[in-house]
Amino acid sequence: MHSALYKRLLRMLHLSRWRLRSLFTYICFTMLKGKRPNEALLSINIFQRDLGDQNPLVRAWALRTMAGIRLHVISPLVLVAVRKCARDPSVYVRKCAANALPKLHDLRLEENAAAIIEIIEILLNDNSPGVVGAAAAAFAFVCPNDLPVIGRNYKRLCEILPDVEEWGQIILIGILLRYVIARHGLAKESIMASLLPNIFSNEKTGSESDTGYLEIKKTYEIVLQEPELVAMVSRSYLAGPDKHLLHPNNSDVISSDYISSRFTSSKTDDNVKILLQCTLPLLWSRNSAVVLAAAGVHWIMAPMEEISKIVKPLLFLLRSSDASKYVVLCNIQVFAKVMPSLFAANIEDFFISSSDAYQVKALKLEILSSIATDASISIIFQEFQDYVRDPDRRFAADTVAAIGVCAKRNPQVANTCVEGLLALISPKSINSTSGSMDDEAVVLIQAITSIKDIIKQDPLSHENAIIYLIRNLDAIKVPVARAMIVWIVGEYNSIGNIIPKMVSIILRFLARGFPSESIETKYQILNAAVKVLLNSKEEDFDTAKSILNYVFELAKFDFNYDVRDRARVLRKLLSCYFSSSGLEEKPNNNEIRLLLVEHIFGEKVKPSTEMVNNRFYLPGSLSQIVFHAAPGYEPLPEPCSLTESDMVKGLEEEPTQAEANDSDVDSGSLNEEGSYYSEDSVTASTRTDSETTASESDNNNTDSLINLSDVGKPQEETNDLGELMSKGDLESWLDDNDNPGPSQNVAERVPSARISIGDISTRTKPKIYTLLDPTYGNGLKVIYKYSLEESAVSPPLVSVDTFFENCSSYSMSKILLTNEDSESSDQGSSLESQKDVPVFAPMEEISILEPGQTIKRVIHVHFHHHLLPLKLILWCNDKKHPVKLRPDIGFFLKPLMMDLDAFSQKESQLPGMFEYTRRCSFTDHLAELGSDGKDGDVSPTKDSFLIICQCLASKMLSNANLHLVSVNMPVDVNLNDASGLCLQFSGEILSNSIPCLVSVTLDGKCFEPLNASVKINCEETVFGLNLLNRIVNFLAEPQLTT
Amino acid sequence: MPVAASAIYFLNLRGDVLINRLYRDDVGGNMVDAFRLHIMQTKELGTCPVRQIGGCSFFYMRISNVYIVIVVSSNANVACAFKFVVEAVNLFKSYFGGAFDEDAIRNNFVLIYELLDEIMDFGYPQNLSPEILKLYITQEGVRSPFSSKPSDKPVPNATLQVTGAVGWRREGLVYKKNEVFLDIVESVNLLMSSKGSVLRCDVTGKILMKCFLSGMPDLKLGLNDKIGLEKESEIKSRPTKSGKTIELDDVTFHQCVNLTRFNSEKTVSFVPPDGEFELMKYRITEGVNLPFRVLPTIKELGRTRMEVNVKWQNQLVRFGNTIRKFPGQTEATLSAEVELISTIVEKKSWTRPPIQMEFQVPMFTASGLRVRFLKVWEKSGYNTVEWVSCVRIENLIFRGVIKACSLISARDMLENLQSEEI
Repeated sequence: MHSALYKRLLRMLHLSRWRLRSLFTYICFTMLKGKRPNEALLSINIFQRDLGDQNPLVRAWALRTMAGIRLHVISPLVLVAVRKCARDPSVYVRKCAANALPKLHDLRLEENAAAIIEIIEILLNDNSPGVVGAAAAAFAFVCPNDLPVIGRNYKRLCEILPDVEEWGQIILIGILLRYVIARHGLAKESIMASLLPNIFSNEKTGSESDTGYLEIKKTYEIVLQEPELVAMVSRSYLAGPDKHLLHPNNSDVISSDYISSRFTSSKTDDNVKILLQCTLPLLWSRNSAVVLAAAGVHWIMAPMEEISKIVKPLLFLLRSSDASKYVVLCNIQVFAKVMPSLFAANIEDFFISSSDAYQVKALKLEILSSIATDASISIIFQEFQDYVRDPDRRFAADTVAAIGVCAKRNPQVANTCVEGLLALISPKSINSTSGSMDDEAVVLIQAITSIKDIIKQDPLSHENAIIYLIRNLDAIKVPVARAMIVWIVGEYNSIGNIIPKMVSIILRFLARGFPSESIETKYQILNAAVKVLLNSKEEDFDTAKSILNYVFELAKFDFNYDVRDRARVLRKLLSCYFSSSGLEEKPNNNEIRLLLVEHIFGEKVKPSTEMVNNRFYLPGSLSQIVFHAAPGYEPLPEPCSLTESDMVKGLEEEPTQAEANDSDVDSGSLNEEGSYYSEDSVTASTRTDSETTASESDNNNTDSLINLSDVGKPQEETNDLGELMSKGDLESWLDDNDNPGPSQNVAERVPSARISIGDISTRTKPKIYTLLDPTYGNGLKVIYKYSLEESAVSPPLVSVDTFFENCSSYSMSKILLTNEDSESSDQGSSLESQKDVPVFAPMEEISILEPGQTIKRVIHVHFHHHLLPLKLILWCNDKKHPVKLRPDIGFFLKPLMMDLDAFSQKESQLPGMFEYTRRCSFTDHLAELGSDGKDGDVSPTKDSFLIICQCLASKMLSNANLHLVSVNMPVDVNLNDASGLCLQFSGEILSNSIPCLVSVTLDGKCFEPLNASVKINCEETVFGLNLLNRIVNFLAEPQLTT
Repeated sequence: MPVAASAIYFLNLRGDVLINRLYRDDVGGNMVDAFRLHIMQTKELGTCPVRQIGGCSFFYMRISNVYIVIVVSSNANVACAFKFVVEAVNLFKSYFGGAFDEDAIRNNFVLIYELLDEIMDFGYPQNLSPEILKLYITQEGVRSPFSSKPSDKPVPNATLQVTGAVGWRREGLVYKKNEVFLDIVESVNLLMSSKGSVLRCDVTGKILMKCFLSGMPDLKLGLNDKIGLEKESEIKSRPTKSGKTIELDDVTFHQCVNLTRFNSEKTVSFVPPDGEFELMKYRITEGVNLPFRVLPTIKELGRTRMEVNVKWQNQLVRFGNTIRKFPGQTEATLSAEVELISTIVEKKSWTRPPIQMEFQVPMFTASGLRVRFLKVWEKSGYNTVEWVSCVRIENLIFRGVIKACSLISARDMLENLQSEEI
């Protein structure tokens, strides 16, 4: 997006109504895609302000919008905001906080992970169902396998489930199911029990011979017809079908793993019971997805005899939209396959109406064919008769296939099926239907395939069917269909009484027409002839042989090389039959050949139960519909993988969290602070000079002076503060749970003294940067440092002392710094109007610079809080040198004089959202202390403290334009323990005069690297965070050797 | 499984994108091209609503002349996605005032954007109830191209309703006259074989309510039903009262109904949303009295003409006199000659579309469902006027042989009846 447009948009954001702001995020998200993070940052303050709005709706939207920006830069801000909003009094805001978590997590920032999970747990604990639903979504997205978190709230989550909003229910159901399985194992009364060892065998193992086990077994045998299939489904649910498919053969190994200890009982185990109970009412939900999810839980966990509860709700879903109907049918299909009895009574619901989509029709057919029973089969067949006449021939073909499946499943109706199918292929029916030939061919082929499958089951009883097929061979023109019939002839040439007699005639007939047949029919004729020969008895042998010979001869001259090759191979194989005296010789390879032939053609096809589709996924998942694991698909967790110790580990952490939660509820930090003040007054340390500040330049006493003083505020101030805090909405923001570091606590609890550390201005050395190196600038050297003085041009400008030095041997003229753009001449006028672009005030030109001469100029820049280097052009002798001016956020400030009271008061007004803390280590003092320590141990305590303070203060003041308010140290210190030492600085932002407070608290031993915890309180959050980062960076930086 | 959508597209029949909204960045913006290429331009369109192309899955639905396509990249919950689309379309319809089609989308561009932003957050569906959304998305749908009038005033009540503990009702409602209307609307679905025997007959009914009640009332509804799940045990413990109980096969409830209480006490209790809503849906398969018999006959008169006769018998004596146009135990015949467009491909044989009949019979339900009581309880204890009416809109669907759709409605004045208070 064009940046100008963006800026206009940004300006609009200030004015427009808050509803539009979330759309703004969308624009940021789609258009910027992280290309211009800095510009997106500019909008943050608006949202930050909204976060403090009285109207919960505004707060919620502000959060939602902020989270929607999704830039790494602002993620800490968002996290802070979410943390606050998670404790908002308004349900809606808390829900939005939960919604923001996945977005935060999606940024994949390691450092946020722990915090996010912690917030999720808090929100899962929420009393409002709406929040829990959103928190569940966050949980499922962020840490779906962190199940101990669920364990802690399991019962409550179950109970709250029916009240959670519908979209949340779907997710929560899935989570609870996963937890129960991981923690308590599978239910031994459910279909998953098929994984129990020995469930199908008749042996009783000692441990499981109890009556319950037998009962289960009994139900099993009644309900389930295809135990193998059930076991496979169960295994798929657990292991994921892909894994399972990789080892199709060692399924025994897998199943033996599931010893009965992994099973619990859905009848006696309370945890399972409660889950089933709570999901039961959801079967009546208006939302089809909820119903499906609830049905999934019952399918997996409920005792088999109770699964029937899901039937009617599922069928009801068939009344919803076409697409939902399809999804539901996909799931019902699996249920129906595994447990046909479940839907057996509801065949009418799967009857097809002409307005169904093809895919729906196909699914219904498949379901119908799997739930058909002896009782219902006749009705189903009547229906099928209608379907076969359907104008959609593809569907008709499917119906024919379904008839075949029905016949396989119910052998007693096979005859009826075959009769019906044969009627279909009769010449009359072929010609009477008016559909196009192609369409008809599909049906015909399918019909013959179905017949073939049925015959396979029991060839003997279908002799007549075979004969009928053969008789109609002439009328059937479709090559594939013909080929199949020829195959049937070859395969069953010796069955029954009539066929063997007919076979030679048929073969002769086929042989005669061989040249005009299609290729696939030719193959089959070849094969059939061989098979007939192999099976023929003495009297027919010669006929068969001569027919085969004839066919071979014809094939030899066929156009198709494959036919020729096949014929040749077969001939070689059967050479013993064709050589003149082959049978007597019987050389070795003849035997082998015969064996081979026997193997190829002799083996009778066994009726196989082929699985059309053997991939099963958890009900309700996308994977179940597309039949492969979609990214992110997870099978059920390993049963009982969540051990007691996992849970205990969680529990150990719990008390602290519970405490935190408690205090959240009643915004406890208020009380905490209150007690702190009163405690302080009890200690009643003497209060002396509160005006002592380090920057008092006339304080020449460079020796340390420890002035005991009470940093606590007077009693009445507490009241003020309390009043302030009780002002309505602020409450929620004040409750600060930023895990105050231990050092901070110490500092607060222990009465502390203030020390003054003489004048350190001499020690402050602002860092010097190089703008132009003499090697690049033809001998011109330009260095700059940020000045501590306020800009003379305009207050918001940062003044930079720039030194121009001529290192060359000739003089230079016309030295000037300008903006990068050429039209920078009229900078002054546009200074105000161009809001967000860094502005560089024009500099006074240096007309001439003699060799060796150094001239100082103060330049004034308005950075507008941009932290990217500012590109400038340095003109010298009419030559351009591009240079970069590095902004230092520490100098976007000016010192703000205030005393300690004002500081504390200000600090208390900027809690929560406006407060950030970071830690770093501080080592500067070690160098100085080290030398001192060696000199002799003269009052090391006093000195070391002072030195530390001086080091820290000088470092701070050298790098940031702040005012040192006070230095506090704990009164009851150990000699070497610098913990609790606290320096406070204040400043205000140049551009908008917003105060910015910095406190640095130290922790650790004097002679070791110290831990510094830097805290910033500032309304301008982005600025605050950036400043914090800067401070932490320079504090941790080793001291420059001077 | 949690995510419902990564992106949503609205396409017209040619495949042009009308509106799209990306909710997550895990799908590319060009995925819709894949949809066009692999789904729209192939025969597959209209068969399977879930397709997978490359790493992305497409769920699509056609609604009038618009395709709504949801794209996800991970293992999403398909049912949830479709439900979301259905609900979203209902929402749009209620904003546009009826139709949802390409023109409506084009005219309401901004509104749809705003709605799309609101109803889904990062792929998770949010509140989709029109009553609530209308409180703070106050743009009006454009019904005709030139009558848009944006109103920018945020409604003060919005805050209360949206953020309240009861998501579907706002607090502080006051009506002068507290009224409740309750309608039972049933549709009879009949599946007949081509030979005329009844294959399946069931009733899908809904109870519609219109509430104008002050405060936070708690309503309790009693029906003459016995609901499935724990029915057996109940019957054992106390004998069934004479005749009039109805067995509901299946019920689904509006979000406001306390399901836990329904599970334990078998009463439908709820805090109703304000205005009109659908309280529950049910289905009954047993004991449905068929009011009519329809016997269609068809004669083909040459290639382009056919004569259709629908013989229609009323089998209910009871209601003979309430229906003006159609007294009981009589027959009516509807004859029609249908001129077929001659371009129909000859080979294509006749598909038998369903016959639909719509009409209303006051104070009678095909299933025999009755409202026993409707109790309103509110803290302030005001009096309410309850209007209960049972309307039957028959929606007989025959798998018959008729293309014409006959619509016969006998809209008599509904007698509003005050419920019996218990």
